[in-house]
Amino acid sequence: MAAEGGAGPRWLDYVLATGGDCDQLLSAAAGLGRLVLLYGDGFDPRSLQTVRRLAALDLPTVVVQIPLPQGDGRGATTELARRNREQLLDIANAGMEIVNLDPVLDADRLTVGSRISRNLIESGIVGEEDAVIVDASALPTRIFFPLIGTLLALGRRSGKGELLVMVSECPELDRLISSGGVEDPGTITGFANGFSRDADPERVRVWAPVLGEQAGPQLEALFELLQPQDVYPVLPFPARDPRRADDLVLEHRSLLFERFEVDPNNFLYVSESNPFDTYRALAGLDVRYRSLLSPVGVPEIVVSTHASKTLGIGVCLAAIEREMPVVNAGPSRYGIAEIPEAEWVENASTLSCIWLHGTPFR
Amino acid sequence: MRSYQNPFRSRASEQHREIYSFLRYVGPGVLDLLPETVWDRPFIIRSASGGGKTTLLRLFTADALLEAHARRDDFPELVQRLEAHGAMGPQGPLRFGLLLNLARDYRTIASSGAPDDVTNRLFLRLLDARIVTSALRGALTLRSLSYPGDSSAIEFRPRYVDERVMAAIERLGGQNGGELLAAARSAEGEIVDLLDSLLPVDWKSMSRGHAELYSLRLLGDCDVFINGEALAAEPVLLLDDGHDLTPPQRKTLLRALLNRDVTTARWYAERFEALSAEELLVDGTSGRDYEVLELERAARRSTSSGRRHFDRLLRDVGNLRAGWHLDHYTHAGREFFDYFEPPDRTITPEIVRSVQSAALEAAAGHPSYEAWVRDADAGTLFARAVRLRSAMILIERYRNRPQQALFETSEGVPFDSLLPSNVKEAARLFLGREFDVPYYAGADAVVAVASQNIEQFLALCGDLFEHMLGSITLNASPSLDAERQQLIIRRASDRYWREVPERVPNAMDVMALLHRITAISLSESARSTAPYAPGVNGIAISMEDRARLLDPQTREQMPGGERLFTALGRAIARNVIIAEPNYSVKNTHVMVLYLNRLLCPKAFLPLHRGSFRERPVREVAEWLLDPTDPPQVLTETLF
Repeated sequence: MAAEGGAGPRWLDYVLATGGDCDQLLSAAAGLGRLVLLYGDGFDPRSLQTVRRLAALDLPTVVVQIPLPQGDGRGATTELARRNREQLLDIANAGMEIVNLDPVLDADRLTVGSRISRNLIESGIVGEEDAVIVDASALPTRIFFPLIGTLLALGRRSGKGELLVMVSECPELDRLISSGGVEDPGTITGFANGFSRDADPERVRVWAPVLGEQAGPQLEALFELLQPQDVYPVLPFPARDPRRADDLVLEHRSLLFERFEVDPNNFLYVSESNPFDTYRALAGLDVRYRSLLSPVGVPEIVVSTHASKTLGIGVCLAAIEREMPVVNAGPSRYGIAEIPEAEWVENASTLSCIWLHGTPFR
Repeated sequence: MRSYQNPFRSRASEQHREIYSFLRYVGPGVLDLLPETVWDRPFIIRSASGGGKTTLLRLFTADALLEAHARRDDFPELVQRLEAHGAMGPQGPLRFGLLLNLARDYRTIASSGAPDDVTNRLFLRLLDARIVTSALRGALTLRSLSYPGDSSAIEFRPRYVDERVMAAIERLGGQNGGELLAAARSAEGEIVDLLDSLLPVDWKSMSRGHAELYSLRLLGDCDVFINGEALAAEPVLLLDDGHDLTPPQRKTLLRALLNRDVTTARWYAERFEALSAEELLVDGTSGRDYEVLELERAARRSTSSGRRHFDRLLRDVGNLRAGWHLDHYTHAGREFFDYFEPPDRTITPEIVRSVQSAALEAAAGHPSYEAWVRDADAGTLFARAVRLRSAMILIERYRNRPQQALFETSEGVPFDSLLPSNVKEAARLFLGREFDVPYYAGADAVVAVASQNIEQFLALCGDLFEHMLGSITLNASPSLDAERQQLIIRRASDRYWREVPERVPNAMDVMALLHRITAISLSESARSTAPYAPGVNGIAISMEDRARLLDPQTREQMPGGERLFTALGRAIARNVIIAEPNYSVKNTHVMVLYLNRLLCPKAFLPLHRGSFRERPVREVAEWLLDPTDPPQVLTETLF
């Protein structure tokens, strides 16, 4: 478990645990309020890891299933989603209550996250005093960003409650999951942060995308949408694979240097395993740019994430704190060719727990 | 090492702030696609993605018109066309376009969870706010005043006393620009904050909305005064990306724009995706109430002069975009397309000898045919190869005719008088398949492969320019030989094939359709008599069959009919298949379904239009129920 101190930004002091240390945080949170777990009800084999932990710790929990698309119907996605649902019933102990959330059918993909978030509060499934855990492992960016944003806003308004985020990372599994197509780009509802208001051609717009593998079409679609004056690509370094940042630059070289005309001095490097490093880098970029350009106007720093969930959480926190617009153009379909062994997934994954709001910060 | 930029990859120049660069790169010929009447009735522009809609709209914005007028010596052709269309006069702009992108926020309103009546009113109120803001900015730009600082200098004065106009002014915040801006900003801020709220929203408290687009009345029925002086230019509303609206929003907006009471000039642009499959399968029509321009269709107008015109426009775009960079990198003073070597030099004496001996073999024993081969064997190596291979096609054709007809028609007839140009094209295609002689080379091929789509054209030019930059880096001439051009074009085609499933939703049926059309085209194009010279690259269904497909009841009874209807709609909307309804052939009319031309090089199919095979719609629908493997040529790897 890591904890750092100091004054300044909201999460300069942060609480982050990995592996077995996550249990301590989960147990501590359970003692502070009713535990509510929000997880993605899809085909991702990682989606039940947090439920398993909570069951093993025998912590009474309300388990809320957030409905997700079941892949594109090809390969093993449908079968995996079915298995996940069956396994949940096997894992859940007597102290667990399972809540199936109705899908929001009349919302577009960038708004569905905020609609789900509002529904959770309006329906009373999540209350102000609850200790809520968002398991981002199987949730797409456009859903877990609004969930975190809403729960932080609720906590800030009431001054009560706890918010923890769990994420299971497994690069090997990520490589097995294929994706394709590009959805229409836009801001994630709840994270527009004034993006579309009074779009001023004189306003300096800067874009900081966190680069990820196979994200070329998404990056291109977002560039078309934003038409930024400057681009600050964010690369994962240090990383488990020390060449990953180089490989990403190589993969996207044509887009970065020919299309986006990125200045080689603009690259930002953040730790692959610590979301708060991404948070600090992006929040710092916003602070510097605003201060630098304040004599000529208000710059707009727009962020997007195309890499791991851990880095995505850092983007989310920076966007919330600095009110930066978040844009998204996710793949239009996901799939997985074969069903991986559950034990292999468990062993190859690294679980992290991040405490974002509540007792540690009071 | 010096770094070089690829101007076809970088789109920075297309940003609003660099209006001069934008004007420099735009081909003025795009204005020739406009119909004559564009101011007095709604004008609807449609195209596939990358068809050039936004570029066309941007030419009419206040800053673009001002810049073009101020630097008219730099853009004489552009200014001449803008004047001819009544957008500009000797003293300056006569119009000022208010360009609004409909992709922003409006769809979110429909997804917000608010009741339908609230979403509709919010949609119109937000659009009103943005139209007003854009009008103020445009008017100030024309007078070189600053926005928003000088907004109070503007006044909208009604041309006549009308309750509806006064009501519109009141709803929008007043007659003064400062008041209008304050009200518009307040409305926009209020709505956008609500839409972006993460916490629950009380929609009932959202009392204010607009029942109609009041801004259309403000712009159409008021004169604009700035510091007491009337503005000579008239506003024109330029609404872009209408396909991003939800169907009910699009319907509401089009109804508002088509209202005959509205006098403001109003243009509306959308991708084909916004249209239903029914709309896509019928002709785009203009009428008394509105004017429609379908960019790709206009670009491939059946007159050859129309096509030549658009081809020249594309060449201009390529040369303009690359010109500055080539000048700086090479100092050679040559244009982009001057570096494309023709395929002539790729013919070797060995190839000619092979074709010659094959032609003599085909003609053996028949004096007329032997005479043709002798006649054909003249000119440069390239000409000889093409003519000899053409002679083989003609011989094959005549051999398959009844004997009597042969002697009536060919005896003593000079070879050249029997040789149509499409047979020569077919011969080139055969030479390409048989001897690897480049077929996809030269400026004409690059322009043709673009399939009337600017974005497709720019992407392909970007690939070609990248190779030119490679040579420049090595201090060599950037000229591209024909083999290299063909390799690049076929690679681009290969990439396009692989991207189709990414571009089209539920693409499996579309791919099944493409595979079958390709298989038919390959089989027909490989026939030794080249009966549909230069070759086939599409199919057709009769107009009666099209009517059956459009009719829901008939469609339902047709196995695979519903899937074909959906797949065709999606493929046409994304420009993967190009539909030409009402194509006249042999005293009847058909709807031709061509492959996008960028699909052709991978399969070694011709780029010309006009050759297709007709199929019953029932058969086409059944293809989707029984998809076949892709033709072998599509699965081969290009290195």
